[in-house]
Amino acid sequence: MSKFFYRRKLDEIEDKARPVHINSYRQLVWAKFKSHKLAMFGAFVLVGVILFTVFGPLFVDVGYEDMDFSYLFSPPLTEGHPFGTDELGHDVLVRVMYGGRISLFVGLASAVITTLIGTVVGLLSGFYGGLVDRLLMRFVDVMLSIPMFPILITLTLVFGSGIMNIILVLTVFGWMGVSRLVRGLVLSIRETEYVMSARAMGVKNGRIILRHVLPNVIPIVIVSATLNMSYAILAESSLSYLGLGIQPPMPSWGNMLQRAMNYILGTTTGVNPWWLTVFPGFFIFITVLNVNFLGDGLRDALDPKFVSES
Amino acid sequence: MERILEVDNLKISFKTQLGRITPLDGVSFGLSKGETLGIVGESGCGKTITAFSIMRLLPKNAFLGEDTKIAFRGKDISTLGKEELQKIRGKSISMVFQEPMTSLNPLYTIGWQISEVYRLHEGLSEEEAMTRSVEMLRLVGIPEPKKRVTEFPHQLSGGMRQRVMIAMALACSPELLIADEPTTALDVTIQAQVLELMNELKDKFSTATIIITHDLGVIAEMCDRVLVMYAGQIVESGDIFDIFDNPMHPYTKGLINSIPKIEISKKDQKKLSVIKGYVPHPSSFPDGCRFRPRCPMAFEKCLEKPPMIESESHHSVRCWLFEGDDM
Amino acid sequence: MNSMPGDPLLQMRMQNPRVMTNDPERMRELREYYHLDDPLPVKYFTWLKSVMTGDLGYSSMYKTPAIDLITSRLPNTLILTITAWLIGLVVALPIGILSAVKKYSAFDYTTTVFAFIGISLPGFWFALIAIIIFSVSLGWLPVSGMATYGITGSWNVFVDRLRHLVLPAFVLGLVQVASWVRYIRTSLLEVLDQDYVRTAYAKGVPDRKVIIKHALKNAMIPIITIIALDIPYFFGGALIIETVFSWPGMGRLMYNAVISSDYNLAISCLMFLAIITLISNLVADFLYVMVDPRIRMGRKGA
Repeated sequence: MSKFFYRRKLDEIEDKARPVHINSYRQLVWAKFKSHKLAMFGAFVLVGVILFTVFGPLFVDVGYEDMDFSYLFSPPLTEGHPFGTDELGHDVLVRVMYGGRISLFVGLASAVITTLIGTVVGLLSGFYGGLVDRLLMRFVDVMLSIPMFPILITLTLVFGSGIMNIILVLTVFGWMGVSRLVRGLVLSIRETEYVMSARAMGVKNGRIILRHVLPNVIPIVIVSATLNMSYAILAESSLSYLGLGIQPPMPSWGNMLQRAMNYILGTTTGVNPWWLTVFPGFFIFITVLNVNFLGDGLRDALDPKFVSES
Repeated sequence: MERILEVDNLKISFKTQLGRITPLDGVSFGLSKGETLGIVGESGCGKTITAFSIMRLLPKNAFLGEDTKIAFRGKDISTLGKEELQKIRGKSISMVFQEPMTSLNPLYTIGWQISEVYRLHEGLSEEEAMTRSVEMLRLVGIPEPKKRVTEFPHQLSGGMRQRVMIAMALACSPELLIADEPTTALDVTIQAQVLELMNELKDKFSTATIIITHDLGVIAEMCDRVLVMYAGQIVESGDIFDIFDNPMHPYTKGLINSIPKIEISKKDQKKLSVIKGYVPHPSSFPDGCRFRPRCPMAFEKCLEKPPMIESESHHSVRCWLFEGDDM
Repeated sequence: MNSMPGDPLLQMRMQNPRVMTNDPERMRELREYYHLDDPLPVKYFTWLKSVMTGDLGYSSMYKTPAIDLITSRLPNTLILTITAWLIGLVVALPIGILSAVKKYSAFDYTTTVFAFIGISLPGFWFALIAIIIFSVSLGWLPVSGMATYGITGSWNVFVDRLRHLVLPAFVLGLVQVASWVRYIRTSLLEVLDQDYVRTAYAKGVPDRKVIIKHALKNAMIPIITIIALDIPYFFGGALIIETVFSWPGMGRLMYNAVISSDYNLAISCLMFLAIITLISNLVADFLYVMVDPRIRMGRKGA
């Protein structure tokens, strides 16, 4: 971190980097995003996962409920069962695919809903301010400092389990993080000169919000949405793992792990079915990981002041 | 007169995510003992980068040009190793920065921060260093220095903080002082005070000084010679009287003309003259003469890069208008 | 009891038909005893009042006062949480600092990737994998619980306890390390960008000193705050970890409460959590004031 630089032939640098001409904001964002290797990788993998879960089942003629009694507890790469089977002969690959649909759907839905609610609340609260804003933000701050997971499991007590209920559970308090971020940004935008001059010219508040504030808030909203999605997927799988989320027979990556836990020490026949634990969990992991990569890349690309050294 | 600093063909490039950018393209100048050089130009012309590159305070993705040489008292410091460079910084060459509000560490007393220089470069003990610091504070005109020495930066006003910076910079009597926009962030009355202080001290210590600013008024107050910079190059350089009385480059003329002047009688009032256009970004410097797109006197030759044309009185200009002139 | 749908009394009856009777007289008495027919604000205040006096109500599952259950389990959770917190600190701090100092180096990129992995890993999955590797395959560490039955001698007991603590504490700690490393790196980088750091370099201060004395000291302010504020999250994570490892702590207690619809116990646990959160926030505030002279003195001048 010393502020030194090294003497190098200018030609050397010339080979590695070309002088650049940027003409528009969109070009800048795209260029920055492209140069963020992890984000590109993440986007690529995510598309793969989505295709796998959404279209995969079309290529297989086995259902997630079908039991293949000739192959119980078989390890991966057994004939006809690339990921192995569980104690009832269900094919793990197929269950992973269907489970993926559920987990991704819950994750996406929660992310979208919480982001929408959070953005609206943040916009209104930040722009209009006043007592309501302050009280609301106090409340949000308090709720955000309490660890979310215990609150979530208590909420399942209130709302019950199942897809829709889980989405409800995740969204009831999930919008708070986004709203605080948005509100913070709105506060600073509100004090900028162009908003103040718009007000001075008599532009109606609603229009100001839509035309001036909202476009500037969008980048942070997009990034928040990705963060929310990764949290939602993790939360749903944790809840399902604990038996509080998606209930069998509907598969979800989380509840597959719950069943797997029963056999973690080995089955009665002495087999250690590690594949039951590894595959579903691995899918949760790479999905969340790549959503995070994507989010990080988006954040760097959309931040107007940020052009990194390479 | 000893040549304190000789900068030859200073070229700086940055390697960024988006490619290579060269904001500084072959700047050469020199400074003698006791001389005050002013570097003037608008934001983005590269003057701050020039200042920082002397002591190598640029970030890691900055690269020095192949043929660049920076000679301090005859020795090339652009290739010095880390430890050698650290010995020079703060002791033989020091800097004063633009933002006094953020240039001091908020967690240490100002006394500690000044004495750091003494402890580092002159090996003084904490007590001795503190005593010297109190002296420096008195020298820069801070009242009640003994009390102030135990205070934290946030307890001082902007003007006072800048005086502390000056005290820190001059503590070890450096041969060269580089001041980057030292008064830009201060109120006008405080500006005048600080400039007066700087004048006093640089005469007292006969420190060679480089003053970077966009304010021609400051240049007029403080400098013996001036460099006018535009888009990473020097476009005009010379004695302060020559520059003000007889500006040659159209940009220099434009700068001088755009100073708002207060005229009492309506007859003498003129419209504020303006240089049309914007300062180009380093990623898109124009070809040929970089000022051409904004220059009212541009002609075909300006599509080629103009060289620096020098006269006998060391008044140089980078402009085709003066090609072949007897100056 | 107050904010839950469904008649609590009916719930209780469903769970334990032998205890409750159908006798209307008795029902009426019970209703009065539990203030069930009072308007909502009254219910809330009576609840608050009893909480103040330490009466958290009865756990319908365990048939013991909730507060006894919680206080008996709390120490176990504390052991786990504090150990995990320490592990997190010891690992995250040096790595975070080094990544900031060596920005964009190979070390930094690797660390960033590991940090991403850390925040994307489902905690319970990580725990399961750890169990598969360390307990089942390698047999080094026990699978669950806090202690093995039948061990005697204080040294042996100590070692045994330690062996049980290792896996859960590491799993809990390492997940947090990931987010801390990124935060530490960001905080330090922000400080390194500050003008006063440049001033320090300009004075000729050697690199090491600049980083430690000038930069780090400033960066520690937000870092300490976050580390203190994150303590409640360890308790939250402990919930899952304790369940996976059958660790007899407050987290697992809460989970059991929810699974068996023991409203009282669940709410009581949540309330304890809220109190713990409050305490850590206070601690964080206190630390912040201690470390930053600007706050300590109040703003004068400038």
